[in-house]
This record gives sequence, C-alpha cells and structure tokens, in this order.
Amino acid sequence: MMRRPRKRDQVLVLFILPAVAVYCCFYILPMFSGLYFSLTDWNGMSKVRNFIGLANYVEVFRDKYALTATRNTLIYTLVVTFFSNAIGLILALLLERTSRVNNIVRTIYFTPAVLSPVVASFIWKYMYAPESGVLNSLFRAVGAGALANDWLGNPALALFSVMLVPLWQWGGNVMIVYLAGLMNIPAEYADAARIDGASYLQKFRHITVPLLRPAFVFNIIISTIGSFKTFDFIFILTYGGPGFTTEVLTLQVYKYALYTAKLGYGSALAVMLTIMIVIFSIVELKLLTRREEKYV
Amino acid sequence: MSKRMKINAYRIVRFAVLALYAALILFPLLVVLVPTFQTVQESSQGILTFPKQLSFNNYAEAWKQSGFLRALKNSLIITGATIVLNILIGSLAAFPMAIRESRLLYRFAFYLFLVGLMLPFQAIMIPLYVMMGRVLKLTNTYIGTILVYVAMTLPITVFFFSQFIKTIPKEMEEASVIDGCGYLRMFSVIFFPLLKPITSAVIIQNMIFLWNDLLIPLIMIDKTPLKPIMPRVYMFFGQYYNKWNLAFSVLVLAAIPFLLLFLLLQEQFIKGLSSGAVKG
Repeated sequence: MMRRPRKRDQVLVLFILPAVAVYCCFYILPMFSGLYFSLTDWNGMSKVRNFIGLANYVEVFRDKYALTATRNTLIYTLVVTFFSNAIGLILALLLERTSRVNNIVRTIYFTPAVLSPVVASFIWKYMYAPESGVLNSLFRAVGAGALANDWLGNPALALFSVMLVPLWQWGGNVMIVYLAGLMNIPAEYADAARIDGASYLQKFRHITVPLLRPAFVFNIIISTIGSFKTFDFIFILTYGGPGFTTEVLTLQVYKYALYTAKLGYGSALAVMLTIMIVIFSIVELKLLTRREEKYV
Repeated sequence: MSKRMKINAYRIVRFAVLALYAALILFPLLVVLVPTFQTVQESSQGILTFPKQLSFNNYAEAWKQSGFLRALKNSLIITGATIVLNILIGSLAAFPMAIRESRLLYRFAFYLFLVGLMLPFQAIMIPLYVMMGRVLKLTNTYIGTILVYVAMTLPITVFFFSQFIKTIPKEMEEASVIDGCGYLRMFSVIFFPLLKPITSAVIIQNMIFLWNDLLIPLIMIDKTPLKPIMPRVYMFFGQYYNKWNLAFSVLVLAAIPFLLLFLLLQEQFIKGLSSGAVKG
C-alpha cells in the first residue's frame, strides 16, 4: 500500500516528548534516586553520604518497628481487600436489576467514594471519639454503656476500627465495578441456564463467576495496591498509635522523610514496600488469570 | 406455594440487607451535620444535646477563620491546571503509542508509564521532597505542586487514551493522509474530538484524586495561605480540636462542592470510575 517515508513519522516523537519529560523528571528520576539513597547512610542534612550497600535492607529485617508496620500493612491489605470485595459483590448481586429504586440505592452506596479520605477519616473520628463520640453516646443512651469503648485508643481494637473506614468508603465503589461486570454478561446465558433448570447457585457458580472474572481481577488488584498504599486514614485516625498497633509502612516512610533524619533507611523501607506491591500484584494476576483458561 | 414463600423470604432478607447497609452509609454522613448547628458547649457534650436553634453562624465563622475562600482558590488552581496540562500532554503522547504500536520506542514509552501505575507514591516521596525542596526550590509554589501532580496522573491518562485511540479505525488515519493532513492537524482536528467520552472519564478520575488528596501538599506546601482545601481542613481540625462545631462546619463546606458535582454528574462519575475495569 501507500508506505509513507519514515521521515514523516519522525515528527511523532515530538508528541510524546512533553509527557515523557515531565514524567521522567518528577517520577522516574526520583524513583532511581530513591533506590540510590537506600544504599547510603544519608541523614538528609549533611553533605556526606556514604555508600553502605545493602546494610539498610539488612537492618529492615532486624527492625522491630518495621516488622510491626509490615505485619499491620499485610493484615490491613488482606482484610480490606477481602471484605470490600465480599461486600461489593453481594450488593451488586442484590442490585443487579435496573430500576429507579435500585439506582437511588446504588447512588447512596457510592456516595462515600467521592469524598476525600480526609473527610471520611474525620467523620469516623467523630463516630469513634471516646467521650462525646457518636457510638459511645448512643450506647450509653440506650443503656448499653458496657459496649462503649475507646475505639481508636484501645490497642486490641484500634486496627479493626481503622479498617472499617475504608470498607465504609470504598464498598460502594467495588460494587459499581461488579455491577458493570454483571451488565456485560449476555442475557442469553441466564436464559439458557433457566431453560436447563439450573438453580440460582449453579447459575452463580457456572455463569456469573467465570464471566465476572475481569471485574474480580480489577477489583482485587486495585484494592490490594490501594491498601498497601493507604496513608490518610491512619495518618488522621491514629497516627500509628496507640503504641505501634496501627503503624503501617507508608506512615513510617513519611515519618522517616520528614521527622527522623534517616533518609537512607526510609528509602530502603519504601523500596521494600514497592517490591511487596509488585510481588502481590503479579501473584494475584497469575492466580486469577490462570484459572480463567480452565473455563475457556 | 412453598416456592412463593421462598421468594417472599428472599425479598424480605434482601430488603433488610439493603436498608441496613443504606443506614450504615447514611448515618455517619448525616450525623456530622449535628455539631455544625451546635454551640461550642453543646458540641463538647456530644450529639445527644440537640441544637436549640437552626443557625448557620458556625458555617459563617468557620468560613472566615479557616480562610476558606483562599483554600478553595488554591484547590481550583491546582486541580484545574493539572487537569488541563495532563489531558493535553497525555492525549498527545498516547497518540503515537496507539497508532504506531509496533514501533519499539513507543512501546517502551508505554511500558514506562505502566510502571507508574504500580509504584506507590512513598517510593518517590523522599527523593521528591529533597529534590523539590533543596535542589529546584519548588516547594511552596503552585507550579511545583502542579508538575508533581501532572507526573502522577499521567500513567492513568496515557493508558486510557491509548487504549481508546486503538479502537478508532485505521481508515481515519489513511483518509486524512490522503487529504494532506499533517500529524498535528490529524490529531487535533480528527482524533481529539473523537476522544470526548474517554476524556470525561479521565478528567473525573483525576479530579477525584486531585481535589481530595492530602499527601502531596503535606510534602510540597507548608505555608498556610498556599494550602489547598483538604490539607487546610486537616490543619484546621488540629487547631480547633476542642471546637467541633467549627471544625465540622469546615469539613462539611469542603465536602459540599464535590458532592454536588457528583449528584449532578452521577452517570459520568460512575462510568469514569468503572471504565477500563470490565474490558480486560
């Protein structure tokens, strides 16, 4: 056909230039310098920084606080990912049919997702406050004062109280993705199943679940990545406390960056977090898409 | 007979679950309105002290004391400029990546942007803090904050635009070449107008992130008059922690503009947030 000269195409390079330049300056370059910082003992102030190899990484494994933060991050990620998907999927199945009432209910469920995590966190700080907080006031008012608790100050409860907030905020968002997935399933499949006399559970197991797979993959991976990166909720609700019971890696990196003169060590922690995210996403992607082949 | 009972039982359970969940969602959203109508004394006693009168004094006072207008202006400038820049250079970059997919250079650039989808911000936080603060001296400036935001939002933008442009038939390009169109005209006159649906999805996704973000301003801006709305709310809460009536008034004021926008543009919001999720 009409093969145009290569020269004409060269102008296209200019198209990607501005985006690549901004992105490399403010994203890729910092990423590599972070990698470099993590191999030094830099305190952030002094002109001297010594190359110390992997010493920071060895230190991470010995650091009690880093291990606590890692454990909390993992608990948070697993719990929030599992429950937000469970809630989202159940709600989507209950609201599958399009009707005016269902649309209004969907909108209500989705509303918290457009709020800032800052707003959501303060709302829940008000709910959880020990003295004049909403939950405790209500418990005391109905004579169930025994249930009143210091929701964010009690080390045994704090992490659970915190994890409820993302579930409250994002459950509806997960639901929306599942709903979009359900809409994509051709009606003929459901008709065929009905004619074959399939029960609801059979239909769910053999039609809904396999055809909903893209939505599963998206939701699970997005909430895993999002939960690993969680910051605002914990920053506002507990700042990692009481003690270190709600400390997560992102918060720890932030503290190292701004308040503790250990930028090298903080960078190593950030690199470890990144590696964890990449590994988790890849494993999930592998697991979720390998099963896909079985059905095709 | 028993089947009908089963269906009725299902209906009742379904209704109970949906109503209970709606209450769980709505109750915290509505209960924060209570302190905004209380006096300081009332608000320190909790929600069960009902406000004696419905007055908007708290809102007026909170508006003044928090310098709300200033924060609103900062947010509008930062969010607006970021979105314009991001859409412009993002769609431009996605164009060759989509129509010359097979070229190694463009494929490499595309993967480079994909990396950004996975990286946590914390991985670049420390170097960015050092670079912006000490080397480029761009902390406490609009331009510095905007550039960081543009870089952060580019991966999603480039990804969505290039996926969308790939669905546009090749004949479009061939026809415009025959008509003597250069690439710039081809993109701006022929392709860009076709990108409308994906553009609104991208704008909404980025807008939710930009308007609501706390972390980047926390690192980039420490001068109060330059703080956008969410960091300002955060700070105000710290200062007024014993005056919940004012603190929550600011919170409600900060949430309202975006909530209204959501209620007006519901469909686009929902499409924007779920697009790309189900094609995979």
